[in-house]
Amino acid sequence: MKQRVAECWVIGILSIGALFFIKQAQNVASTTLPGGIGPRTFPLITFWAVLILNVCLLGSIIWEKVKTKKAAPTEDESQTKLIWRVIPYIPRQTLNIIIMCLLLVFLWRYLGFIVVAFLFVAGASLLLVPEEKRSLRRSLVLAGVYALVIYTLFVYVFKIPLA
Amino acid sequence: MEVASSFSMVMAVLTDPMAMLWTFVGTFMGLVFGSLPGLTATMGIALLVPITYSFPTLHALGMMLGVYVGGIAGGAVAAILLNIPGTPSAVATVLDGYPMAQQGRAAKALGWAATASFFGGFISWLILATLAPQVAKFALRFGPPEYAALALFGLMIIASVSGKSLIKGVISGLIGVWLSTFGVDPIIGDLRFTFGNINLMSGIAVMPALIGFYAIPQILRSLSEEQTMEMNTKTLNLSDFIPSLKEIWRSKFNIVRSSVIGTIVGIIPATGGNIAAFLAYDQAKRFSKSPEEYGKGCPDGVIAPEAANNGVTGGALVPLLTLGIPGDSVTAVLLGGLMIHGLQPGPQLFSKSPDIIMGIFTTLLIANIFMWVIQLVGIKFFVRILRVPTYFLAPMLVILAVVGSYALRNSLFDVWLTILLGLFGYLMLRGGFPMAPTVLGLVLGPMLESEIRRTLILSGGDWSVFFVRPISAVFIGVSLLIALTVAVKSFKKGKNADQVEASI
Repeated sequence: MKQRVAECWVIGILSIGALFFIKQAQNVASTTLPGGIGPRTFPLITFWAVLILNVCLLGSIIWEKVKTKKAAPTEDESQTKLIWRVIPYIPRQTLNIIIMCLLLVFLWRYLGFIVVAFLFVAGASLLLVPEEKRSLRRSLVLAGVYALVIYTLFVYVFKIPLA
Repeated sequence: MEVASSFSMVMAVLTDPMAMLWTFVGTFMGLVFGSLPGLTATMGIALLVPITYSFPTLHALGMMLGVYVGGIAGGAVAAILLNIPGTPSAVATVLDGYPMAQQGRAAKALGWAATASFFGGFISWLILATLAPQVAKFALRFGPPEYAALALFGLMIIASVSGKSLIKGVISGLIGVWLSTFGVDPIIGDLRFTFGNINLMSGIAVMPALIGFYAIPQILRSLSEEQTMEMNTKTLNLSDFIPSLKEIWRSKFNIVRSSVIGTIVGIIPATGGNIAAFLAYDQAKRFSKSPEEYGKGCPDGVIAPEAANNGVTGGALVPLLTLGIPGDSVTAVLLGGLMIHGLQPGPQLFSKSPDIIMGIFTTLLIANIFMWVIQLVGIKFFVRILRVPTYFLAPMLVILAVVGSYALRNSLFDVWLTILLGLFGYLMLRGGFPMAPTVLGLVLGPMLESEIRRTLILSGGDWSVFFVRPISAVFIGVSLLIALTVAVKSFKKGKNADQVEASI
């Protein structure tokens, strides 16, 4: 059930994206060279192929659903809350980390790499560690050491500046 | 006289402790670069070449070739242990390497990766050392039609790595091709889908996309309780990770075939370990007596891509040394390194400096041996990564992933791209879409488009040129055969499923 919902979302995003890019392809130069293939030919073929295959995949999902319509709902289906039948199921911890990842990249420019790396590792490990094993000091030390090691390795050994 | 000077160069390499030391250091650094997602052998050589400015030529060669060999082989470590390919050429290793780790056979997988890499490097070294000038002529026969046909053949491999659903595999592949259309048109230089953003003008780089589609979804998935890793907590013995002679003999055809595939692909300029690894994986699966085991932790699924991607190392040196044409991005940087040390790769190098050529051959062999030894010795330490709890490992890997995508162009845009593609990749993963075809599409899509268009410009719009040139015709013929076989198999599978249902 959860896989089906995620599948439908991927199909939806790709289909809308393909339609959008088909429209955008009109802005690409239409200069044609020998063989009739210009800059927009290959992308258009790709977008139309994605759209058609998405329709086929959606069709096969619907067909399967129709075929099993009369069957009793599976345990997975009956236990799945209504909301997770509409939006893809994401465990809470995973959702927290996703939000933290977005914050990490957003704040990198303002706070610098070491600070955001430290905050991210400390915060994420505190969130993820089971309550009985949680230790603020351990998380802070680990985060500090890791951020420093990565910074030193990349900036001073590999000579790759991290803003 | 020439034989004497060549022999003396070989002895100079073998008896110079500093040459051996720098080769060892280079190989070790290469393995580090290769195993960290986001860092590549190309980057490693580019960063270490300046260090070699003051070195004698032999020591500099040792370091550079060591980084090259180690950098390609190192990608398997993260691929097997973390399901995150360290380099693009290790993507195919993930398919069976990670399932082996999940089954408690991580050490064995790493042992096989190291051994296969050694054999791949050794066989390509053998071809390089004995047949380089003759084999270089093969590289010259590749023109735009052959490249287009090779890219098409490579894209057919999507069928092999699509898993249960071919249609999802093709959609994933098309996503990769889609992403490759961003940026500058390869033929006339017009901008495509940049939306006025300067960062998109150079297109979407492979590494941020690779990290986004592989690292981020895998890290996010590991946070839920869907995945468990069988921990092998007992002390490892040699037999636990070093393949026995019997096992190596049993896989001899796979090893040799994959190494030769890697060498041939390496000889062709502008290809790379990624294509070689997938081609070898596909062929290993086709020739296997039990192809259904591939993708579920089959050692042959690790042997094939690793032998092939290290087979590329010797192969890519063929056009570099004989013609002065780099075989891939790594050898392009290597070319610069060689020129800095007063070496001019090309036809004259073989005739005027045979001793230097012998030095290069000897150093390459030693680098392969060091790569094998370092990896085997390091296995006991590498597998300890599996013991780090997910709640510590996952945040660390996220940091490594974002740094890896930032390192390429020092661009936060790449990091945003990685995260956003990673989130979409997570959704794809939940929906049962495979990731490997996306990388194939991203790498081969530009090659297919640019070479088809280039061919048509040169032929004045005549499509028959693809079929009259023998190499191109063979690749296209085999591609069509593969497509037909897959279509027939899918049809039969669907028909059998309907029949079974009807009989119930």
